[in-house]
Amino acid sequence: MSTDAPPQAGFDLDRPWQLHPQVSVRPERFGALLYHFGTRRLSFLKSPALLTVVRELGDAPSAREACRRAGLTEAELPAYAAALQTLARSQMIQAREEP
Amino acid sequence: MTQADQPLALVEQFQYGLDAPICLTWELTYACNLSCVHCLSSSGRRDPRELTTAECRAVIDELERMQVFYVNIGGGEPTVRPDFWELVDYATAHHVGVKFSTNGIKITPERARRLAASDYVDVQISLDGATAEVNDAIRGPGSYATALRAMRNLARAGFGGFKISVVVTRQNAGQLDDFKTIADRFGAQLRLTRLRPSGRGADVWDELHPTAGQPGSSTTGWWPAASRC
Repeated sequence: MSTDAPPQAGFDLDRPWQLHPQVSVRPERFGALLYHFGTRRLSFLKSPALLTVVRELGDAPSAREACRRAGLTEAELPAYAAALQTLARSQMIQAREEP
Repeated sequence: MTQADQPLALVEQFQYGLDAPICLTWELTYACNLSCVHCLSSSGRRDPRELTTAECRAVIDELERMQVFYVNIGGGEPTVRPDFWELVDYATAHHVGVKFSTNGIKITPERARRLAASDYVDVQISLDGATAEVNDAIRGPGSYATALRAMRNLARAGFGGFKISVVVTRQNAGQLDDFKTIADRFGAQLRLTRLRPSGRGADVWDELHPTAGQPGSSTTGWWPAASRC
């Protein structure tokens, strides 16, 4: 999971999301490091599956689909939604507007 | 599940460290138009062995391969290298962000506009007094005016949130509110650092280090045990 912030209701798994264009991703053995050049903040992705989700976000029609592509089960979704919500709050990911 | 499939606990994984640094500090040149009395690296004269432009590019290539997020470039005064802006452009084009420290000498209005247009460059202006009198005693005549002009150019170019870096000394410890006023005027962030008894800083330590009871003295507990870049 991405940070220690408490999970918060309200992450919309059913809409499209994307990595913020100013964020760099570096895979690490525990998952990945994210660095945002705009906010100059760093985030840890503390599982390889979360890295896969984040990488799939930009192409998937929804975050739920990105999670499915990462092989997550229904039971795992709430924890991953909370992690994605934390990433959204720190602007590491952002809602994608469909044309 | 076999042992190999089972991911290690995070605390165990962190023992292996990261694959590469998050950032690093690069003293690109020891040449400097100033010769501050407390300079950590005793800068002033160019080291004849400093890296060539091609060698600098090769370092940046390596940082890109390592996926280092950004590099803090200092010196010396990095902007006095004729190839400095070219190297900044080369780094950002290769996905290595740049934060550089400068006394402001080369931050013209035109340069400030170009810096403001980049998402991957951050600028840190050094200032060691909130007045010319206090600053110039440490950094040299005219250096306060140079720094303030650079800040004005950055602010006018719309470069929001650049950093103003202050080494806290006995002489400026009473000016912290004034530094904050300057930072607010330019939409900048104030960054305080501790005086270090290194380079010429060792020579002036006895006269410059904040004394007990002053903000920034060793008794105030402001400073972390290890500094970060």
